Amino acid sequence: MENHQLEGLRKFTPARIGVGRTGTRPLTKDFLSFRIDHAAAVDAVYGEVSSELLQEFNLFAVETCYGTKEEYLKRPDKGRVLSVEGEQLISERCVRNPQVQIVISDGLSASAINENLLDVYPALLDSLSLYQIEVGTPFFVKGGRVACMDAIGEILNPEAFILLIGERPGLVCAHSLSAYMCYRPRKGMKESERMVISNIHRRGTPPIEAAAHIGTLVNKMLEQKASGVSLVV
Amino acid sequence: MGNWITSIGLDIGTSTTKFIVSHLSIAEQGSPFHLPTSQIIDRTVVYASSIYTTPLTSNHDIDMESLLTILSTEYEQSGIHMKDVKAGAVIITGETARKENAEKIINYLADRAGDFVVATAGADLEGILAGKGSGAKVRSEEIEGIVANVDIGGGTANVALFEAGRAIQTFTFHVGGRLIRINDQEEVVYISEYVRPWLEANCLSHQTGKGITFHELKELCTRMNQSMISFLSGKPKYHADLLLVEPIDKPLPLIKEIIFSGGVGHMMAGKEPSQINEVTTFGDIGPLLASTLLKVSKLSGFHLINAKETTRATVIGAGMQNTEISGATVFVQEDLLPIKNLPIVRIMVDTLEFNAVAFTNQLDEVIKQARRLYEVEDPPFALGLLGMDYCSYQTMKSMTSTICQLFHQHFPNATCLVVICESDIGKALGQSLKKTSHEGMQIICIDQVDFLHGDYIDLGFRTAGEAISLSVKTLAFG
Amino acid sequence: MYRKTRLYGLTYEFHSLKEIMAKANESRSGDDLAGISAENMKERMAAKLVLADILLSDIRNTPLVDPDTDDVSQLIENNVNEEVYQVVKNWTVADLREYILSDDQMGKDLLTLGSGLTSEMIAAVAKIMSNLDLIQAASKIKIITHCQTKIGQQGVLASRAQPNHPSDHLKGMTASLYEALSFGIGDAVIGINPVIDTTENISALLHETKKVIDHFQIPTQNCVLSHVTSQMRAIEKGAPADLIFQSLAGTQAGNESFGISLSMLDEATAMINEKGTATGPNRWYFETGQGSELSSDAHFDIDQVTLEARCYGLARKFSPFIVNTVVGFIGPEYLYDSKQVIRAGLEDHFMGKMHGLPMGVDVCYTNHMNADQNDMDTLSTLLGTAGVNFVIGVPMADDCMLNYQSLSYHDIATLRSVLRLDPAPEFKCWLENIGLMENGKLTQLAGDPTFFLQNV
Repeated sequence: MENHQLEGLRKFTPARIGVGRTGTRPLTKDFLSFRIDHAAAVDAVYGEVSSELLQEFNLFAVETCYGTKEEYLKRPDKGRVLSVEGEQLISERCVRNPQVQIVISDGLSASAINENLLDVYPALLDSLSLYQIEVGTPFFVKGGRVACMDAIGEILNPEAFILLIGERPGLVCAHSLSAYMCYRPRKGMKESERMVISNIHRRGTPPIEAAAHIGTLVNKMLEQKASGVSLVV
Repeated sequence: MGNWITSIGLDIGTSTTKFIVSHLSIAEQGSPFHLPTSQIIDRTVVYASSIYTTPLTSNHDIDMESLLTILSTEYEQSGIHMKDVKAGAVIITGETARKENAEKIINYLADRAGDFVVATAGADLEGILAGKGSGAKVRSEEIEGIVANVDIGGGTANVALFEAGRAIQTFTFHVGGRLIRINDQEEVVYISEYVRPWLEANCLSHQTGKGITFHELKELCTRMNQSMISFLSGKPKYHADLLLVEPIDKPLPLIKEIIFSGGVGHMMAGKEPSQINEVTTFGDIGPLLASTLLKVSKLSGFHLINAKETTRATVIGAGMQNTEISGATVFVQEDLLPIKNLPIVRIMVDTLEFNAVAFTNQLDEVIKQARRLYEVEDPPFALGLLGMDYCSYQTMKSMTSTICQLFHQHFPNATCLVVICESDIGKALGQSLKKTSHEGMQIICIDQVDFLHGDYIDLGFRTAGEAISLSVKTLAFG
Repeated sequence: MYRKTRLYGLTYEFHSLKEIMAKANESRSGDDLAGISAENMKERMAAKLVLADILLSDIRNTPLVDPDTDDVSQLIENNVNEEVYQVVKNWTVADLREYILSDDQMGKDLLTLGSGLTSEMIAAVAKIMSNLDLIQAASKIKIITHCQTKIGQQGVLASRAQPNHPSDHLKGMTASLYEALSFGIGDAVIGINPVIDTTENISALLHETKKVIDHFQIPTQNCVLSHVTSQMRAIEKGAPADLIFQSLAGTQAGNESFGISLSMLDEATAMINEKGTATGPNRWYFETGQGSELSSDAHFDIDQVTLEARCYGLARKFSPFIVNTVVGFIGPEYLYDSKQVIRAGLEDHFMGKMHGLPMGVDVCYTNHMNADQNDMDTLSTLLGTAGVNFVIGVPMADDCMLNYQSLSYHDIATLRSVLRLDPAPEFKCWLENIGLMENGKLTQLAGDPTFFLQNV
């Protein structure tokens, strides 16, 4: 009877309730499962994006100025600036002035890319092609922060920009992906011009549905020549 | 915010007729971080008629003249403008639900009830609507376990089982207040032919025109209830299968709570009859059936919950709960809307362990079956994809190419393909179908639709953002 | 201000009080990010050495942000108790440290002293105190405040129940709240961080928490931690709020980036006094945290410890019921690892108490910080011994809405048991009456949220 009631309460929240206790301390399995979820979150931060995955989609890789993982975490400003080699590689290999530039970055969770790119990326390309939107040369940025889109925008001058980047991992999900979008990325753009769809993973916002919706949003950005708070959706 | 639609409900039953008007308010929640969502956030009854005795000319035929008088009076009193009515349902049940009756009523309403009223009938849907109106559906969202709504009227007891807010099974008993009628001379005047086999099997037979004692009546009602309740508890007694209108199509799950609605459900709260003249004043076994049901079910071990609505449960369910909203990210070509009376062709998809060959065979089979069942129209049906918890890109591609190929093969002249699904992938699936299908094929793909119980779907207009209104129903008229 | 000193044969020169204050800080990533920290340990020690010799009057006479352009500076300056200040103005920072730590000074002496100090002076002395210094000093100071109930008494460790839900689902919130109450958590406040900032949603959460409080007659207070203006809209429409909440920054520019001003805080004070549902005089709940000014580029090259102290200088004007430093939430670019978080937690607690504030600490970390739950065990134990007014609890330490980890309800029960601390007196009495506590210990019934279902 009591367990039934507990299940009833648990149904309404993902919070770890009804775990019980021994003395004032949690039971061993609950305590260890909490630590396991934290371990997955930490490993997501310190993990690497699979190079096979990048090859599969023909994505070349550039780095920001982050240097080391520790530096990346301490200095968000460095993740917004591309390395000199990175800037050069982008200049050499990418189409200029595309309608849409797609960039993928590990951000704070490499596993977000490893887990979701296979679904999100091809579905996004399908969606954009359905709207007859031309996509520039996509690539991968290692050690990126959201605002690296501004620096890339300065080099490639795309009309719209889509950044798929790993979110800060939580215990509920360590591989959640965000898609940041904006119209005409450039240095000094306002945060209110950026748009984001977050919580993309198999138990959150469905990856293929998110991709389909991003296509619709980008199409609206191109039609209205705006993004963020001024876009009418 | 602030978007609402007017919905009406009309329930024409064996013994009573009721009418309500409700407002459904729809909100689009556009969080900057998530996909947009639309939902009906509030359903309010703004007008409820009194309960009329259904006017009949004989045992079965509706007295249309009188019914129309009732309806026009009620319409006027409710003060609604018919052009504002965008949704709702007409339920014609029991012995009145004959085709000629139904068509007369529909023809009358066609001019007066707005464009989006769904005409529908059938015990399954009636049971589900009663469970929505009585609060059983909502209750099942609140608790772990299955809630049964048992709606008992004059002729039948319609059972709908709800789990986590969804109807999972329906069935009907020949249990009702007017199946046996008694006059004030304490004589049986009517015994429905539907209950005779059960009465005989239980050695409780009585003959019309003969007298019956209070004790005998009470024993009969008690046994009938015991039989029905034993069936619900999974251990049928007293030939309970003879009470079923049709055998159940799958094993009965464990039921946790029961809600009783309908006229008999309403009388359970009333005074218990203690002698025969208290029964005969009603002319039927209703009050006695109700009071014995209360006793029997209290001993059954089921947790009993009070209904939010009893007599009006079905009409409230019909008027307020029959219209739903699709998901907010969908693929819709607006100029094709509305589409009414589209048959639903269901197929279960296991996207986690997707097998392309099995999917192709299964789909081929259901499409062939649909071709045999329905007249070919354009679009011929709505393909309902059940299941699909999580769908990978690969699986979606494989599914869409199979769907497009088979659809074209079987319906080479069709210009429109309609797909409905439960999980939130309608837009992705729609875009993929559009890309894969033949040049010029028009695609409608909507998601977050609960179509498990229902044979037809009406697709309405856009209501909030991309979301459209829709109704799932069991019978199509006209 | 120019100072120099020699250390191990090297001369260290400092050109401003701002520079000395920054470089005297214990190491932290936020000061590195701002580019104002000491280059190495010896320079850090040189700065501390120099700071120890600076007079309090020098600090007052060298404003780090001009009071004419910054209303926080102005408010701090205007609120100095001149009588006290006259007594201490010629003390050095070293004198101040020794006076605070002396056995002769009791808590009330330190509170009197605090009234004559500016926030910068309190920050300065924290920089030359060790962790145990900070604990020793803070443990003397008791600050009792009164909203619906009173907290802050000797021997009391209160707690905020934080039953957040990722979509503000009312039943989900309540389920989580029952879990908290069943562990004896929630005496400081039942406080929810909402996801949706609409007036309706804030009203719904206030009504729902109040409903639970009224139904079980819980001696505590409710609060929904949205922007102050959204709460005001809900309260104006009749939503029942005991407390009103706002995050504070240590500069006017920082507060502007939070969308608040001093006049807005005055307006909110008037409203919560008039329309709030509590009976006591203390109706504010403030949150702060080192690094927020830098994150909004409103730090003027001032170190984050000093800026944090200035938040407290601002807060004390409003006689809050509780103040909470959300110490590990802001991320590794401000506090990189557990060592820095532990230090900051102890500094914030001490500095707040010296301002006379009812300080609580959200003992917490994010998943991209170099810290884990063991570090929270350490910091919470240290703060418990330092006499922290309250800490924050979430189910199994995992906040499923804000995606960070704080203390588990279990942890707070454990701290009380190990450190022989009690819930707030009225709340303890309630726990005893309903059978969850006996002789200061949780009973067999405790720790089970369904306990509250039997009584619904």
